[in-house]
Amino acid sequence: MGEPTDLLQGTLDLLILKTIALEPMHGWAISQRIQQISNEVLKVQQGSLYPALHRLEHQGWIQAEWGASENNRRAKYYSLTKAGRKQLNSETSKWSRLSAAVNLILAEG
Amino acid sequence: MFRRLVSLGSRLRALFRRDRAAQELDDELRYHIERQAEQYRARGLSPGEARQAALREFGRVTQIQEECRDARRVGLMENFVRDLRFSARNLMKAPVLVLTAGISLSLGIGGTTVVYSLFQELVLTPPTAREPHRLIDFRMGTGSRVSFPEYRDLSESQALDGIAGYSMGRQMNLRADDDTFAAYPLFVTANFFEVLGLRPAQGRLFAAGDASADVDPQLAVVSHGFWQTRLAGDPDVVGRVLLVNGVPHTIHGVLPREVRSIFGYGTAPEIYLPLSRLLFPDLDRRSGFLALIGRLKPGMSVEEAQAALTVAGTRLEAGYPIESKGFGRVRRVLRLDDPARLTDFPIVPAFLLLFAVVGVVFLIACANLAGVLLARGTARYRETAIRAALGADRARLVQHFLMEGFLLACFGTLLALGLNVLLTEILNRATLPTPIPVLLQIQPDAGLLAAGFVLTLFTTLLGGLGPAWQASRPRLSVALKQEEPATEFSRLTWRKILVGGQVAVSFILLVTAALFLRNMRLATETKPGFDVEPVSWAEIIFLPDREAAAGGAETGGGEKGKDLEAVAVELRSIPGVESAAYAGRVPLTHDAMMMHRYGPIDIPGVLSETPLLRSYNSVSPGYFQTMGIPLLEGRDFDERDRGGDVESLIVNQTFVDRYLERRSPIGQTILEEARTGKATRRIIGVAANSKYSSLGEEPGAAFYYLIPRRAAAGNFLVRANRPAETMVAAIGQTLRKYDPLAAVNVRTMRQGLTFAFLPSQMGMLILGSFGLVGLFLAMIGLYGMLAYSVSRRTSEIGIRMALGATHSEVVRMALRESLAVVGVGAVAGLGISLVLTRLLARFLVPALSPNDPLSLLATLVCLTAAALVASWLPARRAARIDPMAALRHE
Repeated sequence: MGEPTDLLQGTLDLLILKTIALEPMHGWAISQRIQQISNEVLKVQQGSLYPALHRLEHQGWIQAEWGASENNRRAKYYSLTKAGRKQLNSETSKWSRLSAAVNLILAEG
Repeated sequence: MFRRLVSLGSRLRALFRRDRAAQELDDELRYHIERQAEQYRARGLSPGEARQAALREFGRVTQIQEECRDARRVGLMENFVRDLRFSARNLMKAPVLVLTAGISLSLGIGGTTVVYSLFQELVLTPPTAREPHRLIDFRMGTGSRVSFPEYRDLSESQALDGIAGYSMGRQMNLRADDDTFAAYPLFVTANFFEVLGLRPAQGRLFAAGDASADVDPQLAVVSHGFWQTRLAGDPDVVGRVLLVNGVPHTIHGVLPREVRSIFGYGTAPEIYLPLSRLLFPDLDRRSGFLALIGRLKPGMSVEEAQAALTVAGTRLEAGYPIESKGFGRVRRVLRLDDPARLTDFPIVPAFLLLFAVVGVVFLIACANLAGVLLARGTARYRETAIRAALGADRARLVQHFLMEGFLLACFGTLLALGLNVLLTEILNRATLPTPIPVLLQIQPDAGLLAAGFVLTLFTTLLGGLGPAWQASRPRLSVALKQEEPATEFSRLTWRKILVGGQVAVSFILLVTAALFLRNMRLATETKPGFDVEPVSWAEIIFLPDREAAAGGAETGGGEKGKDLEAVAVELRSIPGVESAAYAGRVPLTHDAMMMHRYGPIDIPGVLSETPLLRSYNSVSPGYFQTMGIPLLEGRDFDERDRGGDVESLIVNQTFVDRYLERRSPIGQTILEEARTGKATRRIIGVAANSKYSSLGEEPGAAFYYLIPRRAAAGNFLVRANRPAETMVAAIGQTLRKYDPLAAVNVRTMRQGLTFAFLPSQMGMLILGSFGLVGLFLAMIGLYGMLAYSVSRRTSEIGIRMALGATHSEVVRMALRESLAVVGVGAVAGLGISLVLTRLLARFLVPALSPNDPLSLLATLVCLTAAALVASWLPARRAARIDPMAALRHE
């Protein structure tokens, strides 16, 4: 039943998993964090972010919990599950292999 | 597994708490937008501008919501509910279609469930008993039955928790007050009801303590039906005295109505009697007649039971090496709820045939559903194309179209279940001309519902998936031109293939039905080798003589009983009677089922110790004349043949041809094995061949012995020079006057033969009705196809008419289209039936070829006529098309 994952979508999933690996975060913070850390190179479309979050939750890799935000409002916090952590590891190594391979080819030219 | 459950749970929760989930999603997204706006405000935008910017950046909120929901896959079920509502609304607008499809499906599904219900009742439901899975049916020794002392030894061996025996006796004379009738009692061992664990509806069931064979118990337990019909439902039935062959028996109890007997096949014996020497003198070690059942000890497996019985049997064989030969080997041990024990009649193969036939009808009904749905797919072609263009994916469209099929299937199943209850109730009340009453007790149950549900799913998939797949792949460009693409495989072609298939399958059904009809006719006309029309058959069961009843074990001999010749003399005095005779058994009646004997014979100088299968009967002088069986050589029996050391014997032509070629048969002696060594008999005559136990039997050897003059019961045959129907009353009167206490049963020979015709009659009835249902369904399919084709070709026909085509030409064109489909279907059906009907050969009389040309021709005519009827209305509608209107429509 798994959705077909193209590169882009798979990448977004990986970034989300990585971002919340450190601490639980809500959606807005996740998009901010990705933007910040990538030096504004990667701008996450909200249109993709929330469906991705809900899909990841449904797949059991992340879990959501309502909590109080920094400014004391109700926000939905996402955190990694055990399966999510495993998935993050395997996705990370997959990504490293892929990018290394792409770099190799580019360096060749 | 667990995770799946959890995920399913969350899906269900999500579905039912959709509002809450939606609310949470709203909250989540709103929070995001507000934070974004705050950020913009912090950068110096005004609150309004900041909010605008945040919203703009966020994009279309509803789409995101939709996608989030899809991400959770609530979608599937939500769509299901939505499709359900939508399709139901759509179908409500087409009541004729719903009704046609519903009726088609109800016939197909209903027929299937009725066969299932019958199968469940006759094969799957075990006899009524406490814990039937702990009861076994087993056979020991070389025969299938054991003697009473053997039963007793086995029972006392403690191999099982209890062993009981039962045996169907011969027909007996029953008398309650002034009413006398004949019935087959079921003789059982005293502990029979205890081992089975049955409870009475009234009174008590006899038990080992009060009904042991040693005390000659004079007790009886009667069935509910017997109590109702023979005893008029007498409330004080317990304690009433019933004379069984003149021996008084006290009614001890009545069984509940819903008891299914140990025999299976729906039989319901009317009266249960404990074994006693009064009615069953042969309780010695040499006469095996009891069938056995046993109750497993708690926790005992069938294998353990087999081992325990083998030990007991081995001990028995060691004690009585001659009488109990072979008891060390237990021949079969089957649990009572195992259908494999039903080996007396080929009931399972019969059901396989039935399931095959009804499955075919079911497929025809599914084809009708498919036809209807294909047409609907076309009607909604534009709608589908637009939805596809707007981004609905294929799976979603298939799901949507499947829903209509599912709803129609549900409707059909509902009607079918109603039909099932109606038909099974009719079956429950039906009576068959069987010697032991057959009582069906089919009740709708969970199994039926489950079968209905499975059939609904099958129907949806078989009838709905194809059309849904077809309908879900339109192309927008062509769809907008208001037309279906003229691809080489249009939907009309699909429909034609469907209808052609239906015609082919109906053809097969009709051919089998026609074959069985012809079979029935031929069987009726088959010369059984004796005359049927002028002959009447009277069964008479006398009360045994008092001294004979008191004499106990010695009554088995020949000297006791009534003088049958005296009765024959009375019968001959009836006006119109040409001759009267009596016989041990009457051929081709239910009485004649066991008329075969297998064993070695000696013909001095020709054969020695040669095993021979032969039919046998014992007959009185005048039997051959009465039955119209010619004597080809020698003479009939007469009084000279009584007494003397060497008995007289009449054989049939087949025996002479096979074993006595080129010898004069008359005077030849033959030695047969008998209870007291070998019996020597001398042939005095040769009779022409005739049928003995079934119409379909191969010609075989037959022996006729001289029947003793005195007996406790007799089968009288009366030949008259006027129709047998007019003789029945007079014969009955004469016999009753001769002995008012005797049970008398008079029928014409033709009526007596109904039992022999029962299989072909039932076959004809069942296959005939399925054939007609199949034909009817194919007609609906044909009608639908042609009506659809005409409506699609409205403009074409309009143009043809505008260009000068006459009405009759249009009608002919439409008919040609439908007859082409029927023709192709019929040819295919013909080809298949030529091969398939060969499987039916063993159910047919030898004179009828499975490829009987008359049956094939009749089917073809019938099918063509039906096709014309079904095509007539659409063809006329085509001819009525107004060219102007049709063209304007374009």
